[in-house]
Amino acid sequence: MSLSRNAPGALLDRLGVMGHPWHGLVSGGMLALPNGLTIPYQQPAGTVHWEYTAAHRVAVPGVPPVERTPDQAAADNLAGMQWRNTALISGGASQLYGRALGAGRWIWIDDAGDRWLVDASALHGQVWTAASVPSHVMLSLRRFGRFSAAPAGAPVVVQVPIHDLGQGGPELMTTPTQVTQSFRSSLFSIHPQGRAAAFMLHYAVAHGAAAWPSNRHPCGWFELHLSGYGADVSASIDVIADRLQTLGGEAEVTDDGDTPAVFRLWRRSTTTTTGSDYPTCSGGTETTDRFRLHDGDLTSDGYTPEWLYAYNRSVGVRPDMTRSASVSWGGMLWAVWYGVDGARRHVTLDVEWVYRYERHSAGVSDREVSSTRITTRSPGAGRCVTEVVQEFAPYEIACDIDISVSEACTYTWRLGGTEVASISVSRVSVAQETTVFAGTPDGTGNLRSHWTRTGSAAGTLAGAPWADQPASARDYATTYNWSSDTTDEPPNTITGDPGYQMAPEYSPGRRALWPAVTSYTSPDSPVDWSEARVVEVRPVRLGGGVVGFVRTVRPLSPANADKVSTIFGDIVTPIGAASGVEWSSLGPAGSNAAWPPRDTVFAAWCPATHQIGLRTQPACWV
Amino acid sequence: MTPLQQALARLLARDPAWRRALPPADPLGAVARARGVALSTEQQGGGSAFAEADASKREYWAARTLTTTDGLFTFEVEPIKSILLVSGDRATFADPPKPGAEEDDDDDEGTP
Repeated sequence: MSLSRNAPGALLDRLGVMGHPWHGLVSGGMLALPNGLTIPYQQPAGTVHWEYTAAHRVAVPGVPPVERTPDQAAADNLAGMQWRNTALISGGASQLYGRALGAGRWIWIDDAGDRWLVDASALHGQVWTAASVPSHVMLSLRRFGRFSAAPAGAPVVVQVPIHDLGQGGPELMTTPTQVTQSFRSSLFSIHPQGRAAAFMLHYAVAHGAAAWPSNRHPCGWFELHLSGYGADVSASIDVIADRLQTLGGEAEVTDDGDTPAVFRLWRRSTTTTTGSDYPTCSGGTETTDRFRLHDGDLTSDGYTPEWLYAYNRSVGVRPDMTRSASVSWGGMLWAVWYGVDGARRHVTLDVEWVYRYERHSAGVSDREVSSTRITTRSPGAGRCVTEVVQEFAPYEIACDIDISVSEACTYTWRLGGTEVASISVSRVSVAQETTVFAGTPDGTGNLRSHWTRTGSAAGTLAGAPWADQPASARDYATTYNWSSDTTDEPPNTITGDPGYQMAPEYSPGRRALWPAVTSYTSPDSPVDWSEARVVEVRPVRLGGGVVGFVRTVRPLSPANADKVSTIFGDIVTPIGAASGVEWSSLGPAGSNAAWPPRDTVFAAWCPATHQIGLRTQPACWV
Repeated sequence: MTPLQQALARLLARDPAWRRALPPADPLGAVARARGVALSTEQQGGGSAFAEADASKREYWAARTLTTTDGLFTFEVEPIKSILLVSGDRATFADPPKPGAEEDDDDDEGTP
């Protein structure tokens, strides 16, 4: 752009200060000025969630601080104006002075101090697979911000090779069972002088009802470098972290075994038959089977008359067992930001999960139980008729079982390798159970199982109890119908399946980070189901300059009166943890749905003032 | 200004020689112990003495760069140095103070 000699300031006027004095948080198309007033302002745009809140600091070297006289400062304050020696590029469309430069664009101050508008849109918003990443992209640069009589000059176009973005790593899991190949590239952060820009490769993750903005996880990072003087720019692309490094590298996984297939069953030891109906076709027999406790493998032994059974089901209890498991990995690269000095600052997430389950049975003696079948035979119309008078004489087996389960998951944010925020969720439950299996020969195939359970449960979330159920006792009684029950396992075994609740997803060839979700309910405790709660903890990216943890406690039953409680905190920004900043919300009564709805919380961090704005609609600092 | 005065002003703008047809200006009156009179443009009351004859004859001081507070936008301007008056004289303006040594560099000539 050229400038007429008659432009403002060229005559006899005295020129004051020039620039853009309107700074603050823009939300809903209104800019909140420091004097308390709001003015209409262009809302910084975006396409993915965090872009709406992204703000990048632009600092031209050598620009002095703005000096204002006391009178001028007072007038500025009154008018809500702020004169700064730095600028902000805001939102996904790179808004400057209230105008969008365009997505994937920023200002580069070259080695001579000249300003250039960089157009890297060929690297922004692109959807690729590992095989479709282009071998090169075209970059264009135009002189920016100079108003003079000199010609503007033609854009400079540079071809930048892409050698390898390191996307040959573990498979990306969109859901616990679904693999995705595609990922998207987005401009994420910009060097204060525009000499470099970090791009994030990310993919969609769908897990659970609470589809927070974390539903896009990073799978790779690369950096575009610019150096030199204007038209002689040198541009290159380097990988910051490949897929494996971004996902956190190899994990340490321990697991000392799955649930044994062996059950403690009662196996027939002797069979005694008395009486005889042959050859008279009269009278009857009485058969008594005696069973002794035996460890059996349901898979190989199957259900045979060798085992104490009611109709077609065995009767048994699970064996004693312990199980320990853990998963930990560190260094999942969530954010790459640039400091005031232009140095990159990496935010990584560590995940640690530990689990232990113990079950001990007592009183399950190797004692003898018996089952008696009495039949009578009588002549019929041309044949003998056998009538089962009684099957399964009443028997009763009692056992005492202790169960304890402990599980904890800890997430830790690190900024430049230093821990800056952490959150843990845990549950511990213990139960003592006395179970009586009672075979009742009522001729309907029913068997009653009655047990009394005494237990307690507790859990902590971010250091505070989220569930605390003192010891209590409860009686349970269940009648099984063996004819219709089709489960593969003895249904009358003691409860307490050693399942995981909070385990992060990990396998050597696949990687995903699911939120830690756990419930506070039976079968590990005698808590009434209607009182059960679900707690969920997940790392989230709520803004271009903000990551944190969100924790939700909600009732399992929507009929419960209490509301979903959601707290977003433990915020980490490019300068460290932000203490005292927390956002909380209660969902509508009578609902246990995820709250708040997806993509309705926006956290905007200001690189100039370090303020944080939390809003339920797009918000960005300008 | 009467229509006649307006017509005269237009005539003067085209040909300063018509100034001779104007009546002499009213005397300003005695000023006690005055050693000299230097009238500013305002004091001259917008009279014809300070009227530019030809905008294309302007002269400018060397260009300097005005910069926004954040350094992102620069404006290259050339302050007015002199103008040609209808009297045939040139009115000269002083070179105004430069906005700042670090901003005075003509750093925008490297256009590719």
